[in-house]
Amino acid sequence: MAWRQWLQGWRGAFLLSAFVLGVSFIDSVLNRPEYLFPPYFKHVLLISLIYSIAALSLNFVSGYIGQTSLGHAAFFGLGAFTSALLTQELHWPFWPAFLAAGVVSAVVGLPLGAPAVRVRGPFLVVVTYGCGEVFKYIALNLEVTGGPAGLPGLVTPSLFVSFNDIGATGKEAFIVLALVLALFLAFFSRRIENSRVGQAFAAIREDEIAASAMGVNVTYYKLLAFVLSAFFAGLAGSLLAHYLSFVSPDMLSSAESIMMLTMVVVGGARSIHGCFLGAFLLTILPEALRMIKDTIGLPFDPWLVLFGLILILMMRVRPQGILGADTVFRR
Amino acid sequence: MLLRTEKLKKTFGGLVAVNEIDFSIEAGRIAAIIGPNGSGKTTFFNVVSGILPATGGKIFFNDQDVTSRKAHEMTALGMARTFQNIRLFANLTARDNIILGRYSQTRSGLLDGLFNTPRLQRERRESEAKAAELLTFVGLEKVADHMAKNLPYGAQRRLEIARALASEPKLLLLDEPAAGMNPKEVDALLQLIMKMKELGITILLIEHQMRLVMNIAEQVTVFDHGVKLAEGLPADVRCNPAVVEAYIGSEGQRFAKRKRH
Repeated sequence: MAWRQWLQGWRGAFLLSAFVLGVSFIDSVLNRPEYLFPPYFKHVLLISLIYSIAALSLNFVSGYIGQTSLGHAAFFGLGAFTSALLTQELHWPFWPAFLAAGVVSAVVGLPLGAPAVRVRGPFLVVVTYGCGEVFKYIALNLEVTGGPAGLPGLVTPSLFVSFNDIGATGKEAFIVLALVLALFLAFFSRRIENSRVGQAFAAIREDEIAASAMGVNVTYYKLLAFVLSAFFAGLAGSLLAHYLSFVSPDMLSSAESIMMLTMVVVGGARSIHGCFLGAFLLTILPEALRMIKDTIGLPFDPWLVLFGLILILMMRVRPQGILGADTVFRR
Repeated sequence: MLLRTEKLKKTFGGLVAVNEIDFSIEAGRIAAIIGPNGSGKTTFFNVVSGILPATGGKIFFNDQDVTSRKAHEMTALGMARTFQNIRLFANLTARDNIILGRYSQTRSGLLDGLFNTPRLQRERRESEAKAAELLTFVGLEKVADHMAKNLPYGAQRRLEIARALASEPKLLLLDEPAAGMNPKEVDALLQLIMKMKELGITILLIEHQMRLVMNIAEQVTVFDHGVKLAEGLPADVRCNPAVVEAYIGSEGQRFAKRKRH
């Protein structure tokens, strides 16, 4: 596919950045009373970018070492709650709380990665799903996490001035921060793919016993994949929490985990471009469908029906994902 | 002695797969382990190479106690192996398989990857050069960029040997390298093993093809039901009545005796 090759490498990153920066700056520069891009459009763009980070972080586990995780939202939500509590209760500024969100997620990801050393395949799916649910119910029942209501009224980040004062709609600074983080993660992922660590990941994905016979410490690299995955998911969660200025236990739900995994799988496991594509597609599609539903007056939301159809079609037609490598997945 | 086991034992529940085996191999030699199916040969390999933990006994490699070492540590110490049911990285190219074989010879980590350090670049260059050399050594230079799973059977076997050689081993364990090969491929394998011996690599192989074993092995050990039945020169082992019985039963033994006279 020519368009796929055309997008590979830096061209894709450049196009994405140009588009995102264009959208975020044009209104600020034009400084007109009516926006060229409505705030809603920017909201969807930002959410897509944040989920791109989540998908890229999940890609370490579900792409590179080929282990299906259904508990990724736990790390995402953990980061969100960590930075919410640090800024709200301990009055930390945003930036250290943002980093702490990643670190706390990574530290918790380490013991959660431990079962993955022993179990794999469907068993790991059950274990990660269970872990995710445990986190959700902890958040639902603790006083400090606000119970089912979550924590409202989080501080807006500020570097020198408040994020709200940068740009026309108050979303521009978030968009740029999310873009920088997503691009860094894409760059980091590409570098890892081409390094000895990436080789070890590939060996584990293909055959764990053969990998250990090559001298690959399978335990170490599996834990490394989980820790990296949790760290970046925590950062993404923190970003979303401060943008919405709200966290709720819903962020930790299995529906979120399934959505993130679907982004990776639909976009193409192990494909960095695929993670972006999956995240944008699965964020924009439900929004677009809701608009269509409102316009033509459908009595129900067609999204979930279509979501199921997309998944079935993908597995039938292109199991490796839209941008996945053209090697058939082992089933 | 390069490798020595002392009363090595491995049980799976109540089944004793390897029962107190004393085994040793001198550096620079070619040794073979033979025995009927289910006699514990592959389990012996798996325990020695650290893939399975030993139930009892000791393993010494280079006079160092390595009994509780894991597989990846054994590779770093200089022991490489192939598998009975080929375990290549099926969706990687032949070249990448060999580059992965170099894993224990390279050192760069996560930060080397992030900053693409000179060390990583040097190791990458070295690994690629070594991979090209090894592909030529086993005669696979023409299919370097083919995915391992698309290679013909004999080529997969040779690729697995090349991948094991990439770790620059002192001892190479080959688990039924000639299984499923036609006579021509067995001849090529024979020459390959002799070439590896000339490079100073000690070779221990499990094999059913007697032609191969009798031609190249300097020491043959016979396993049966997890115990060592016989050991010695190929010719002596072949005539050992216990060995003949284990293989073809006492009827066959009478037949073999009659034939010899």
